[in-house]
Amino acid sequence: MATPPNVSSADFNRAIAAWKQTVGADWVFTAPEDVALYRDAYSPYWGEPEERVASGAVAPSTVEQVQAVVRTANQYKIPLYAISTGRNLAYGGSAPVYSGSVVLDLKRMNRVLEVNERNAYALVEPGVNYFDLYEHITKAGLDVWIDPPDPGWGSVIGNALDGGGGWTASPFRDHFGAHCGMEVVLANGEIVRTGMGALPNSKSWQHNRWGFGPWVDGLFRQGNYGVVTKMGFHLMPRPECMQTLTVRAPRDEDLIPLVDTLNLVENQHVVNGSTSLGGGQPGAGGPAGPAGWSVTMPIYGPEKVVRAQAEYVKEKFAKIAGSTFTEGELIRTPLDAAALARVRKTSFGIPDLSTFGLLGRNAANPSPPGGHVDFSPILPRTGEAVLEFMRLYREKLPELSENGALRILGPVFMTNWDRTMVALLMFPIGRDPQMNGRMRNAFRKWVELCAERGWGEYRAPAVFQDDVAKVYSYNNHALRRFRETIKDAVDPNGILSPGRYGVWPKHLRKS
Amino acid sequence: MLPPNVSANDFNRAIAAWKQAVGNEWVFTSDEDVALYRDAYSPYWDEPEERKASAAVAPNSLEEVQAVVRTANQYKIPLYTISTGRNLAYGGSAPVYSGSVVLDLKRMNRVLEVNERNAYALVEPGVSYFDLFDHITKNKLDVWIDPPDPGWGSVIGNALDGGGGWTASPFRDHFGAHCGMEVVLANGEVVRTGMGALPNSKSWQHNRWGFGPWVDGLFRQGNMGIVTKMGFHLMPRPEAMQTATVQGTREQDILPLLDIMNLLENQHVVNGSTSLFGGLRPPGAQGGGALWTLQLPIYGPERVVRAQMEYAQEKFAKIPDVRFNAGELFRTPLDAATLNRVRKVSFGVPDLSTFAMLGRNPANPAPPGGHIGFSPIIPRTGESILEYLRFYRENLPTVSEGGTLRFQGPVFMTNWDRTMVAMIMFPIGRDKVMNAKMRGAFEKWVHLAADKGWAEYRAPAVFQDLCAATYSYNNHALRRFRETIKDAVDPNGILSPGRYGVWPKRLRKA
Amino acid sequence: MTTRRTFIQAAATAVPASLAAFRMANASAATSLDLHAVVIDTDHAAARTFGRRLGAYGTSVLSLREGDVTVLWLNEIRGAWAEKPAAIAGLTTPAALFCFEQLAFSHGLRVVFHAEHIVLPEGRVEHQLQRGGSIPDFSAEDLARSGQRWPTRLADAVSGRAKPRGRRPGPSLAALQPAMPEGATLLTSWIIAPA
Repeated sequence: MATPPNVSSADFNRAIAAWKQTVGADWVFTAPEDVALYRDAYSPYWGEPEERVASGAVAPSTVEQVQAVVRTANQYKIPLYAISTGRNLAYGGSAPVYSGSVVLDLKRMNRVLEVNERNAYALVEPGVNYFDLYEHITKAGLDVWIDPPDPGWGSVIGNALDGGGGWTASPFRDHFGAHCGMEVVLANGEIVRTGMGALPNSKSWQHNRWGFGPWVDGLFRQGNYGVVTKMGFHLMPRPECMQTLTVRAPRDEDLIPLVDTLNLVENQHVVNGSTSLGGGQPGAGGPAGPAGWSVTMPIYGPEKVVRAQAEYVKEKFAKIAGSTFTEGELIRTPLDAAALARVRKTSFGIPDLSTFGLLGRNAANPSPPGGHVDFSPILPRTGEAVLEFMRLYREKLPELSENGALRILGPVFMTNWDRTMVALLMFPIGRDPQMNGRMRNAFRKWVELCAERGWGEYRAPAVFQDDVAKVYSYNNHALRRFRETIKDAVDPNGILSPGRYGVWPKHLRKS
Repeated sequence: MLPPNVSANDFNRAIAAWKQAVGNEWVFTSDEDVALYRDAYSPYWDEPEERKASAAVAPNSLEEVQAVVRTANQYKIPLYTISTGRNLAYGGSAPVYSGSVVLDLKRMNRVLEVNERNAYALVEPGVSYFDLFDHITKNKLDVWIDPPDPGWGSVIGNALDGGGGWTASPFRDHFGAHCGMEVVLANGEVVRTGMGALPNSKSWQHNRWGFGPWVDGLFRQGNMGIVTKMGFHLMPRPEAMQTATVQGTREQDILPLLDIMNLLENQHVVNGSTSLFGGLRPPGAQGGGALWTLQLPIYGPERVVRAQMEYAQEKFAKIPDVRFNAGELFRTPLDAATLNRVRKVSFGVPDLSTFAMLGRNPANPAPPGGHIGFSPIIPRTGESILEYLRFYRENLPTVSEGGTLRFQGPVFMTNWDRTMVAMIMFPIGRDKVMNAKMRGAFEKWVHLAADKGWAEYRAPAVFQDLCAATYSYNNHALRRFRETIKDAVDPNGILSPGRYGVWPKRLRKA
Repeated sequence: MTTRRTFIQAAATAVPASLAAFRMANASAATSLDLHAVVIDTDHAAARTFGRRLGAYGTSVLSLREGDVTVLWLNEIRGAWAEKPAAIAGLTTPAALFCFEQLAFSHGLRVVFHAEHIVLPEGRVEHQLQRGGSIPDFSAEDLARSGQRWPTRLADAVSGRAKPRGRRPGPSLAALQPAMPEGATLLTSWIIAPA
């Protein structure tokens, strides 16, 4: 049986025994065939020595159990890696960042604690996935939407904590941004409630997110300062309808006013859906046609409002000479069976797994159905930046893809997060270590190339988190060092998800 | 006056070092200069417990801030950072910890950038809402700011104290609308957050999260560092604005009225700063007349605003006997005549009229003179409003000592989305006996409210410990977690000790 | 760019002789304060009278209503103070004094004269000098004796006010209201000047 680094077999056995006492023997996993379930299905090191693997796993079902598990880990200095449902595919899945950690699997804590329709919020545990929450809402007949990512089987809490986003309306698409209140177990086993949750008897925990005094919630976003055991989210009241508008413009230069106008209507909140930018491929306009760009803009709301917003948007884009404007079908909610069959469900707050099917593949979502890792740098939200990225991509692709041997997919320009432009590239990962090795090199080179231009990732696969964190180097990595100071204070034994997003505890940092 | 636990020798050395760093004329030690940093609305005015500074230092650049902080660290001298020092009703320019040296950032007043295409601003702490508005006006940029009332305070300072404004969501939540910071730590190091940590990034004011754990929140109502630059998302000028007034006559109407208001706001059909006035009928009073009045401003393109207004009217029509009135539709930019008759802050124009009698209205009954604000958050439901009003009516006779103490309010504020703040204002004057009674009343209200699960979103400096103590879940676990961080990032406890109840180790009671 | 001197402390400025012949006999142009303007709250008759009197001496009269200083600040005073620390006087509600005092701090100006006038419902006025009473032959009793002519008497005293000497005063009590009987109105007269 593998043991965590720097932990004796004796200590590991004692810890395991303690954990079995706490959660029950059934819920402590040490047998290789059980622990193997926690491998990252899309690991870029699949089958190689550097593949990040767990040494065991523990699955508590209550906060008290989580506290006890953490205390035991602290006592024996055993690194844990908390996962909610472990579906963080393309970003590390259920495997720890620090190989040999014990996975703290919160999947069993799967209660939907409250969904409040009048104030449009939910309070959930980590094991609640988007399907669970959707089912709860549907069964209870509540007239609110959730905002699932694609696919929808992941944890509502886990996705938010990893910085994920969805596809319905702003501001709900920014999952962490839409949260309100948390409960966290600290490295010393203590429970903290944030925001209004720190006030006993408060009924505003999911109303006001700030509470009183310095706001600590952000530390848990892409962080390892504590184990989140409850989290609140603001939900959207069901919008009456949705309509998608598309604007196409033929020339590369058009992209600049296209993005400017997109930004204007989004920043005014006239367009609130998850927009996308398409084009930039040579010949997209026809065999000998120009490249062309398109902007797709969904709008959600009451029908008369959506229609007025669509008219306004049309007026604004009309200023771009040579552009065409198309109004998609106005779709009313709740969707009838016919509509349900033909729309992209995620855009209507319905969690889905179709992204894994070929039918799920489209220009806005070209993720390979198989293993891949996502490379997602943030560019400035201007047409100039997109064009600059395209130039860099075309220039470097032959070299970095080894003249097409590496089938890198993209770029897809994502605007799920307000005022943010992400240029997504996907690197297929398979079972061939040699090919995977070449993919990894290409990935790392892209990280460097983008950093030189001031573009850094918003999220990264576990095995590349150090590479990406390194480029955020302003003033000799001052931000990382500040995070490390806090880490050492709140987790002195460095047991909580060491290395997550590049933050290592003292005893694991290279001096 | 010396800072507590600092010898005269050390203080003199520090002063000499500060003079070297910022220039003699920018270190203030004379009584009459330091007196300017008194809290004009101090509830302890002229009493021994009035919080006062021992000196003040006004740096002019990031490097000077770093040097000042390093000196403070060397001699373990507590600093208290202010931006423009206009935090009236919440402590003003006076330190929480008496004897601290005020670190006055007013001279750092550059508007570093206002970008119209991406609708954001990057400013230094000394930039007031007037300054930013001027810059935007001069450069003819078609964006709005979201000033609080009054508008003379610092854009950064207001956001860091949790303040809010009066135009459209999401810009009204000033901290929520920020994007990127630069911070000087207690050890003098400079940190840039979000995309600012990536050298050469041009997205610092685009994406607020960056990569890895988000530390920005620590500086909101915090004392973990000194913010020297901050970015803010701005609103492109909306073409029009129209306010609906909705009135109900029965006490129970507030339940559906607020539910529909919440629905419209959560759908972002109504995006303006809503207001709610009304109250319980005095016992025995006859019915009739509006008991509740809601005001719902909507900003946006004219045709969209009209559609949203129609939709809002349909929703309210479901409540019997409720009156809905769509007010005048204003088109922006406002002409001079119109600007003169509207409430300017609702149109993104900073103003000082809140100090004027005309500025007084049911939505803004703040006394023109000294006062402190008691602002608990209550749940955003009609039931809570009724519960609060009953609670207020029941407790008022005792707390006001039979009406001797004249409070103003309650006013229900909804500047922050999905939040309901019930504000009461306590006039503060020159009469020490009266001020002491007001302080006693404030304390009583805090305890009474906490029993109900209501506590403040913001508090005057002298009451921050009291309010922080009510957030006691699990033996004050949140406060202890913040203290752990505080001790790590500011081991000598020199940055604004006591701010929002977070004290460094050496000043905590064992 | 502001220097410390304008930030918090002003230098002495030469005062041009600009006052009319109606000045108090025992004030001399060289030592009296050069008033850039007088601010009045036109909702109050006493303030209008005060303004007319100072206007007759050649002082610019600036009006505001109900204590709202915004327009005056933006259009007149801010620009004047950007050039030099110009003295202004006023008879207004306390809110206006408070605002101007706060704004004045960073321009090297302080409240050097501050008096309060509580106008009782029956018309009688109670006067109290808070600071800067070192004006010859001038006192609260003096104002009381003037009866309804007090705004004129006050204007005369203010126009003859000598330049302040000695220690720089700290903040005034403008923010904090004194105890007032029911139905009374509080007006305040003041001078903000380099000190």
